[in-house]
Amino acid sequence: MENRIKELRTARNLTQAELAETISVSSRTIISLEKGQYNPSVLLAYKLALVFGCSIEEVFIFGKEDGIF
Amino acid sequence: MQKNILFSIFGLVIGIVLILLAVFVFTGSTTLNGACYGIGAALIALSGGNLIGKSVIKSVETPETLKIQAIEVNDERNIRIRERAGWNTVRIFTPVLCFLTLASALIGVELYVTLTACGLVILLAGLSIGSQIYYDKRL
Repeated sequence: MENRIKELRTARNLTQAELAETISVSSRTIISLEKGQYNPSVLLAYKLALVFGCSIEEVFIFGKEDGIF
Repeated sequence: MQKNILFSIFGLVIGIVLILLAVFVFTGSTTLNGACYGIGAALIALSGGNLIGKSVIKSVETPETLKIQAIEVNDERNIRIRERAGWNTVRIFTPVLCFLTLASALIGVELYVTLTACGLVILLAGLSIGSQIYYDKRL
């Protein structure tokens, strides 16, 4: 699943380590999320959306390749 | 943590007692003597190692390192990695164990070796089924 984490993080002048600390995950998790290698749980997606002040749909882009549509 | 240290001290004491029993009491019986030496040495090594490890960690432990440690342990990606690694290990280990059990039966090793291997295969299967039922109800 594609996401806009890197874009939203840099727009808020946050480093990967700072974002990781804010949502209590390891920096490696943020790196994997930004690369699109790891799909987070709903809880983590919700936390990220809260940090960026937007909805989950605005952070994660649900595409055709992810099924259903 | 405190419980863990007490458990290690208890293990260390039992290990020392077993070694002393092997040296001074069970000198005649080779089986009992060997068992006391083996179990005693294992308990001393495990408990002593645990105590030394805990004291080393305690000496370098800061609130910052504790926080990082908690994050690493509870990180959902790390949890998923551990689960996948565990599952892969079992997936690979199960056919290996089955093959070893069959091979031990075919080459005619001692019966207790084959039966132990069979027991392990049954235990593995039981644990796998039990875990699936448990998580099926829980998740």
